[in-house]
Amino acid sequence: MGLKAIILKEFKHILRDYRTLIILFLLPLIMIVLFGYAMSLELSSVALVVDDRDDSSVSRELIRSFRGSAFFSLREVRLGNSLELFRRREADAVLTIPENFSRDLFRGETAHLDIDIDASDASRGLIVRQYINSVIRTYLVSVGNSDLPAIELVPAFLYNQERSGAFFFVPALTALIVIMVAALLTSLTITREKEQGTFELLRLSPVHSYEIILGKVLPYLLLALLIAGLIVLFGILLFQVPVRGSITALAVYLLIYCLTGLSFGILISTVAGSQQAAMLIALIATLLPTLFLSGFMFQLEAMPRPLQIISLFVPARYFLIILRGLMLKGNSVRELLVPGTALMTFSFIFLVLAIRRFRAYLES
Amino acid sequence: MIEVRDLTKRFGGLTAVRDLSFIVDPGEVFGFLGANGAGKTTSIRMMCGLLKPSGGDALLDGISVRHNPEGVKRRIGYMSQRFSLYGELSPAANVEFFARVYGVSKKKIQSEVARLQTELGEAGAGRAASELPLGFKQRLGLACALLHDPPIIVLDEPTSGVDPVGRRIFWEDIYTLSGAGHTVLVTTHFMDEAEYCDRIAIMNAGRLIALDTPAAVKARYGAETLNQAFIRAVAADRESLGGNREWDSRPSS
Repeated sequence: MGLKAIILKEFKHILRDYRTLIILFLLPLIMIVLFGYAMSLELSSVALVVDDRDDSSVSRELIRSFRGSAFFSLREVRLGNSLELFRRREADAVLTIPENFSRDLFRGETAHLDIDIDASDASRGLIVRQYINSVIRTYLVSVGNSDLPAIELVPAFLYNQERSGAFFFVPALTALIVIMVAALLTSLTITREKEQGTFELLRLSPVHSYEIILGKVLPYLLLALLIAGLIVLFGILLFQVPVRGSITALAVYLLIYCLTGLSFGILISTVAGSQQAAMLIALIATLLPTLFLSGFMFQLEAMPRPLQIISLFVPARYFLIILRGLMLKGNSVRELLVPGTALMTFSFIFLVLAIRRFRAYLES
Repeated sequence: MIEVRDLTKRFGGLTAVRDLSFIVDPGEVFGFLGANGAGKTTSIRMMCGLLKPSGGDALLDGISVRHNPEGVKRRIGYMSQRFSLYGELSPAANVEFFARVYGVSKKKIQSEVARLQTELGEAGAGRAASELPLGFKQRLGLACALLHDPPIIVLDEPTSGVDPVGRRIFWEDIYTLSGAGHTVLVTTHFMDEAEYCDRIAIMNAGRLIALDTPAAVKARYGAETLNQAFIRAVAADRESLGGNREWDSRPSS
């Protein structure tokens, strides 16, 4: 009877506070749209400065190949110092064709091209290098140079042929936003009662601590699932991200992941003294690990061992495997049993800890 | 109805309540007085089953707080100094929630909500509880505390901040309750209010220093008003403690 009473009351809280409700639904959508259009992995225009000291038909032909590519905006100068150009942000890369370039090429000796790349933004620098390499290789093929490797790789990018950025960020953002919102939702519920003084009345009433905890988690589970579903739907509709696995499985795993976030939030709520503290803890404790230690941005395998071990305790890590598996790879439920079990274990542990902490608090 | 025996609470090396003993009869309005930090709130919390006593016991309606705090909680209706209902919910939603928590019958819930709505009027009933005038809030709090028909009602400074007229109405409610057989334990800062009680207990430094009818307490300290009597009682007690200021620096609990 206590459980039902608390569930009903929490629903009334949710519906009565429609302004918060609107924000809760709008914010994730704004985030996914913003990220979606802002987070492009392709560079459109690489500022390439060419210093052609060879000034031969060969070198001019090479420069023409760069002009032909849509990715480069080209400028020719006679200037010795590329650093100065980088400093003035006038170039992403400087290609210097040395005086003896065409001579060496025709003699069959190793011909050199000097490329300086601004790597102050490392990932941009890397992409610039790839672009330049590919243009030079195409050029060499066109002049029939025999120095080409005998084997050429023809990569097939499975699960994401177009190498679309959306395929990467929609699952990642879903994992991030869902756990943030879910933890926030419940983190405020108990602290709010502590601040209002209603908590004293609950303590005096015959409700059990598990009734209070579950009664506060269950209504928000529905809300969080709705928000999560909306995010996924937006990802699919706006960015054409596929769902190659079962939709039902996706819904079930979303539900489990929401539960993990909500349980974490309610645990925070039993620890935090005020609503502000609870909100801050919920945001930081979900945002940072999810960004850095879930495989969202950085490869887990490349991390130092201690960080890898910590990442084992980040729920988003498992959910990313599930979501990428269901959306892109078409994994079956069985293939995702391990990460799914991990998420359920997290929820269970968080809930038990919350109830225990809560009981201790009730009796203090 | 309430029987307190040697009730003691220690926090670490500090004794907040020391050997408190008294008896409250059924239907009595019993006032609990004391300066801030005198041990009032700690005593009340122990009697309500919220705080485990370090020593002694209290029987409420024959049930021991030491052995069955949950049983005690069901026999108590509690209302506190600050408005502690769900401010953003409607008055009716508050009543429904507390009624369900205590397992009150649907019929009783309906009649209680209907009574409340006639009392507040159409406009008031639809508003959030926090927007009600303070006097109404206090009465709503009292209504919620009484839903499960508890034999004992504990009011912790119920009229703080309420205007004299509102207080007067509130006290009429209290008398009605005591007339109906409820035992009322009330803590207060207002000495004029304490006059309304059948008997009062004055606490200082964690101990009971006076326990009698308001008239008898006044007579004992040769005071004309209860206010004067209270100040004299506390001053006399502090003197007997040898001017020990230890209690003043103690955080209120």
